[in-house]
Amino acid sequence: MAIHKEIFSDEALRHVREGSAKPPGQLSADEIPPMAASWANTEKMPVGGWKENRPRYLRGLSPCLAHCPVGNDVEGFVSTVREGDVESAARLLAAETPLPATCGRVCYHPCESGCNRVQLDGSVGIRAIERYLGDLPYFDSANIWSQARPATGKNIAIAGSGPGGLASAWALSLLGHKVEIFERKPEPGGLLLYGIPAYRLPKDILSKEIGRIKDMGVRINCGVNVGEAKELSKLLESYDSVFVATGAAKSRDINIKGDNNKAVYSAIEYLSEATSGNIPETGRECIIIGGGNSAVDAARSAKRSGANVTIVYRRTRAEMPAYETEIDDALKEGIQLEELAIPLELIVENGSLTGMKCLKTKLGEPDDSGRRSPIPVPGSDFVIPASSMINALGEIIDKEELTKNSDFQNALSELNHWGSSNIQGLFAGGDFVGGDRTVAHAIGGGKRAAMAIDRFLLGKSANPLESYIVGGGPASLAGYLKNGESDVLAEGIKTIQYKDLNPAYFPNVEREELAKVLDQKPDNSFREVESGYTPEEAKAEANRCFSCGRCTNCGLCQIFCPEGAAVHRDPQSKELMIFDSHCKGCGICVEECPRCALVMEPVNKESDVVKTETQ
Amino acid sequence: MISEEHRIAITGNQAIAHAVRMARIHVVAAYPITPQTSVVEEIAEFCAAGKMDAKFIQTESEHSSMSACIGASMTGARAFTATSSQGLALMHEMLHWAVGARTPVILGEVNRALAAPWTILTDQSDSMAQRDTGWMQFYCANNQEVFDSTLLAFKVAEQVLLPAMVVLDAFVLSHSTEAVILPPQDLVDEYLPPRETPVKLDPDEPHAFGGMMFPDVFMEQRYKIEQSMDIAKEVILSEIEEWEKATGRQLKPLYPYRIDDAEVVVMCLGTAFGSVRYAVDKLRKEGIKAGGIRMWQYRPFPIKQLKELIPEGSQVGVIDRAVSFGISGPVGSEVKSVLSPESRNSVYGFIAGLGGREIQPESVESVFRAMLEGSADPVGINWVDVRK
Ligand SMILES: Cc1cc2nc3c(=O)[nH]c(=O)nc-3n(C[C@H](O)[C@H](O)[C@H](O)COP(=O)(O)OP(=O)(O)OC[C@H]3O[C@@H](n4cnc5c(N)ncnc54)[C@H](O)[C@@H]3O)c2cc1C
Repeated sequence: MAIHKEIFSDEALRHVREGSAKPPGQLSADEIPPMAASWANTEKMPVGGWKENRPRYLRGLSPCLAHCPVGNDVEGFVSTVREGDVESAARLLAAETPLPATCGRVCYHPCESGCNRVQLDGSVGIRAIERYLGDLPYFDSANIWSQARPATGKNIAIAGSGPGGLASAWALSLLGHKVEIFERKPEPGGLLLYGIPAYRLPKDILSKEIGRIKDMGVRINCGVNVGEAKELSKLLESYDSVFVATGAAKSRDINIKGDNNKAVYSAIEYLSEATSGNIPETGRECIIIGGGNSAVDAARSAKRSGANVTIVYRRTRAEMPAYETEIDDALKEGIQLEELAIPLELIVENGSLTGMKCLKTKLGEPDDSGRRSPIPVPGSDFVIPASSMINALGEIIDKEELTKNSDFQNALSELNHWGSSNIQGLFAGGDFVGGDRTVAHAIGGGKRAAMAIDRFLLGKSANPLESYIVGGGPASLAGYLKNGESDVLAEGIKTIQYKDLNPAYFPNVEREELAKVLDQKPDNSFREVESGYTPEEAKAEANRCFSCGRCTNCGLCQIFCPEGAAVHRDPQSKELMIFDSHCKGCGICVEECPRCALVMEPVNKESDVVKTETQ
Repeated sequence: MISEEHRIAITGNQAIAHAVRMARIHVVAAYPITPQTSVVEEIAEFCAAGKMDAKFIQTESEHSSMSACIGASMTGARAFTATSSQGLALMHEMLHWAVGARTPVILGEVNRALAAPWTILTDQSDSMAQRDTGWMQFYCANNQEVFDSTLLAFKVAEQVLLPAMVVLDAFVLSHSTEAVILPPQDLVDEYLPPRETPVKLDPDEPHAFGGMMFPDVFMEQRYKIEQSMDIAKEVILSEIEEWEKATGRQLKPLYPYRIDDAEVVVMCLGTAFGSVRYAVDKLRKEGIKAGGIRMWQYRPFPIKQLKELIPEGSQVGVIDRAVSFGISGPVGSEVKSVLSPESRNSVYGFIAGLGGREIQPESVESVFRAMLEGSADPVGINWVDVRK
């Protein structure tokens, strides 16, 4: 409804809009507006000189970045999906990892454990977003990468084509070096191919990922056993550098009576055979020994080939090192769990396995791992039926297999964070060097070694390698390629915690879960269990990302700035900026910022003081 | 959208909610308090069901509700809140602000006595305590009137840039169901077009509002509020006419009852007027020329209509459901001041119905009798139905 003319006259309106030369006391009643409205906006008042503190846009670090062993710009690609620019998101992802479709499926996602959203309503589904991007056509060819440098003419040999070797080969190619991989198995991929079952990581996905790396010019020579066919010392002579990433896939022996039976397998052996298409015979009752991921993978694979499967574990489910959801899925698929039991001997009749004698345990004091240790209960032995047994007690590193040379062995045991050994040109990474044994850590190790090798080959670069470490965690290859010119590598960058955020802006939103098909029919039993996000789901999930510490241009600081004129959008870049001349230092923008992308700093230098000249 | 008029049985609180919905409100900010709660509950449900396209803000206090409404109104939005008693008292500071900032916020005020001691029952002490803030006030006596008054309040407020309270008695109206006619939406749309605000909080034409005003203009601004109240008197009359044309229903600043030849008149606000009518009828049967007036429009005070209505020489008793302790009831003293220049009438102030005590026909009869017998105090407070 319009305002009555006598109440807000045209004269008064004109005065509000255009101002007046007359002092207020000389205005006629008609010229005075009904409310106190300024004639100008706050640009007239440069109150910048009032401030003792000033706000500044300062990039903080999202904890997901520091937690990602690969060094992915997690917040970067997630928020870019949120903004609807999937191609740029894919490029951001490609800048730090050669294997997004793989990690998008099998990574144990430490990024999600570090995600601040855990403290609100559950972490962002980062892994599934990575998978969504990794499956997009942008990753159909190696075109997503362009070589960052002209060819250097340097040649590097890599032993092992697991994720560690592949990541290092990829990074070295980007850096302009020529790479040749030696792999003893008939096909490349390491445990991605021979360990992780196809129902979690389909083989065609893996071969596409490896195909891209080959297309970058990396030669993969399969069926070559480094150490036997090619001595390490020989490699070091013929190549400028050697990177060892031969993994840790030697099974720990079980050493019980009957373990030489033909129906006894190691998990690695079983899974490796299963991958090659000839699933080993397990009979009706298959027993798995162990509580780790290999145990669960072996169990679910055996279940898929039709056996009744029982996992025998010496502690309880709560202590199982296997990934929680994997155990859940296994149990849902009908796998039995025999807790608190240790194998004593295998019962063999007429050369065939018929059962396994076990002893009950109870939990005692916590051991070094912090888990309560199993104590055998005397006289509690019992027998469970078994037609086969898979030993999944874990895998160990075997340096002797690689080299009989003790100098090499010593060198490969004393590596620094970057995988450099005390033998010139010899580097190592991945499972082979110990530490966390995951795909992501192997990729991270491969990347670090690539940077170290590059630096070794080309002499000192301007910055120490340490300057490429993101938030005390992984190293950034993109940052290395840009000589450290990256926001996330800024000195002293603060990792943002949940308490730094303004939760008022983040309502609870349920996480988008991936659909799963468990308990598959034997005819297509190794079909992928989890399906990926639809574009809508990916965007919805990305929308849950807080973008901790990064200004997303949301504009709340501008809305809340009481000065009105102090926070502005740059007309060209549309970025938000603060006009020092008008910011009086109240700090409301900093308080209000949902994601802690602003800080307050004291105005302490004389030159900081802003003149308040009237315009 | 319902395109036909329809009759539904709703409470007074629901009647406000429906009116607010049909006014196509933009922002509702409120904090619950008995007996107002069901007003905002109903609106919240309308919002949740998508029947209204409004921003509903549940604030942490009434002070904040009013602040949010003022802020919203300053951007040109149509804003509404509702409260009662302590809630209105807590809003007091912002009630002044709403007027000074000239924000036509509408407030559904469900009359409830102020504590201490605790009560949730009706009297007018809460809204009367706000009579000097510059808000228009309309006191209703039935649910249809609640509905009609709410829409009219928006229409008037937006023209005169003054906020308005639609006032209704706790429980007697707020929680009692009556048949109410809801007009079709297009009728309401036509009656109440979107708000037009030439100067507002707007990043495209930035101004600062509510800043310091020095003595050289402050009083002019205050004068303008009073001037707007004066203009509102005319605007209300013409809007009553518009509404009558549209719906056939007529609101009146003052509702007279058997007043023409009355020699003794009782005035009150709100639902207690029912008892006034009973008492008038009873006395008329005895041959006493009694009459009654219900005041719907309290602010701006309908001076002209009151003078026209009150028969010359009649005695006038004003029943207040609020006390200005130490002197009298607020409406009583105002009626006295309005009628005194001509000294045509003797006016007495009565206090009745505090804290939910019923004002029965007998109570009103005793008011009439006190005047007829000459026992009413012409200056001080005449307490009705009180054990002394
Ligand atoms: C069953 C199982 C499931 C797993 N699931 C997951 C999972 O879901 N997520 C996760 O993050 N991690 C998982 N892991 C761990 C993960 O697979 C490893 O941490 C990762 O593959 C290590 O990579 P790598 O490159 O260091 O070694 P590997 O992947 O082991 O690759 C080493 C490669 O070197 C080759 N090699 C060895 N010796 C020689 C030699 N002398 N000459 C030439 N080649 C040689 C091997 O054949 C192999 O191809 C799993 C491991 C297992 C066993």
